[in-house]
Amino acid sequence: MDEIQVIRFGRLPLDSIARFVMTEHTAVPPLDYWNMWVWDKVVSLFPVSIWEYAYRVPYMMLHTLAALLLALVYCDMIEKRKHWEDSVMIWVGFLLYFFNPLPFVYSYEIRFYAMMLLGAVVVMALYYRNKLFSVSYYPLMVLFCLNSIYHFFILVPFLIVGMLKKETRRNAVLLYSAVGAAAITVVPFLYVPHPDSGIVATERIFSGLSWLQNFYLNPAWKVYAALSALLILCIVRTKRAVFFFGSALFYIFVVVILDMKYNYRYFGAKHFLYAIPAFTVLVYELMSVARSLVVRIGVVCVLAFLFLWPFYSYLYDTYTGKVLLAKSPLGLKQVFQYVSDHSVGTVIVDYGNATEEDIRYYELAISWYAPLYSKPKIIYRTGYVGCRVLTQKASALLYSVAGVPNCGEKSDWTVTPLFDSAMVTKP
Amino acid sequence: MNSEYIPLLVFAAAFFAGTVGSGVTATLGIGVLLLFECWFVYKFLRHIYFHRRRNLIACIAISAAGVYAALFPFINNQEL
Repeated sequence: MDEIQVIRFGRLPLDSIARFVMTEHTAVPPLDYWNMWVWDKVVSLFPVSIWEYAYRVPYMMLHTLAALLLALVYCDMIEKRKHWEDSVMIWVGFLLYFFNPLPFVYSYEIRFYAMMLLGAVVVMALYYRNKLFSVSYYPLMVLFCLNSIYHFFILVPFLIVGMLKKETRRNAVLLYSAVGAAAITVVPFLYVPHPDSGIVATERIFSGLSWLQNFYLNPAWKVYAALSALLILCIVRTKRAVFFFGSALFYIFVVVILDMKYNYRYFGAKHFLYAIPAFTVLVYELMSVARSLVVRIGVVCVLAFLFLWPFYSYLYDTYTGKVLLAKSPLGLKQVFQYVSDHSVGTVIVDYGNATEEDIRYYELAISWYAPLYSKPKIIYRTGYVGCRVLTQKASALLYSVAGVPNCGEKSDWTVTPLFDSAMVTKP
Repeated sequence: MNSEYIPLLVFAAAFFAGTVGSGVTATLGIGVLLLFECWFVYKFLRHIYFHRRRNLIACIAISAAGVYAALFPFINNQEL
């Protein structure tokens, strides 16, 4: 539903987007919505039936760009080797990040996440090339801050390191000042709704962390495998690897603290997303310790098999409808395509006993999809009375949010299950 | 003043105009910020173009596009 809001805000006059964002969307600066203002004009040239894909294209490009940049970083980490080895290293570095399930899933989400991850990767790439404190890149750093508040936290460990080194101290202070000024300007955008006192923050933090652990480190022996890798890291004592490990821990710590303070309504793995590039660089650093190319490729295969592949089987289950998520489709595309194809005049929406919050989400989605295909009259009902209303209306269709409705024996009515909703049509 | 600071000052002015300003000022500010964004994308693409491994990089980018193209039915089926 947030995706619809991003597009809707992106359709406002350019100068008023920021004002609306700061009162409607939780803690998000406006750059993503400004970009959408431009991209929306391009998408409107395409047929409505592919808009779900077209709106996501820039985010996919950002993810590809991030994976490419990280691959080049990885390639630079390894000392002199043959030309073909170079190619293999770039491919390995690219694939390991590109197919990392969390960033990959968020690479087709119409929100700021893909650019936030690119921001983290750019910081790391500049750090490896000793260009992070070059004045010409300051606007880029501040631009990423305008995309997501996570970028402020991403920069903190790097700025500390910059301050500690004599040769970069002056420029690090300047970057601190630029980012600090940006932070003061961005503060009004950090709209946080009233805390939900019914939810205990610590419970949600631990459920979020265990979600993250289940995501990558389930069953428990994988935790030991990860700890062993960290032990190797400590033995090897690669300075940069230790720095990135510390940074990743810092990022997780920041999210936990912020959530405790603001008591956000929702808390999940996506809030830790920005730590993933740091963990990826950590893996690259570990891999770069091995001298043999075969060992490095072997490590990637083992990592992919253990940590990445299981999630793809889970994704496949969501694709085939075996598992339903909050992100699962509601079937509204099919409903309104049917309405358009069969010139249905009225759509009856039966919410069953859905909560008020869920009803708000459904209304938002319906109000987005209804005018895209046709403009039927919409009648909203609760309490499973949709079948009765459908009997009374000519040229109507019932969309039941609560699954297949019990409409009794109506032989000429057709019931189409749509994920966890259903559509009832009559001739 | 060192010339490398001039773009930074332009950017700062656009930043404040875009985020704090209203009307034409805000629109101009946002326009300049979006131009900066385009400039950095151009800079990166130019870096790739002159990179010694540019054919490989192009190959990887095309493969990524292929992955997303193959996922078209799945992604297009994801409602907003």
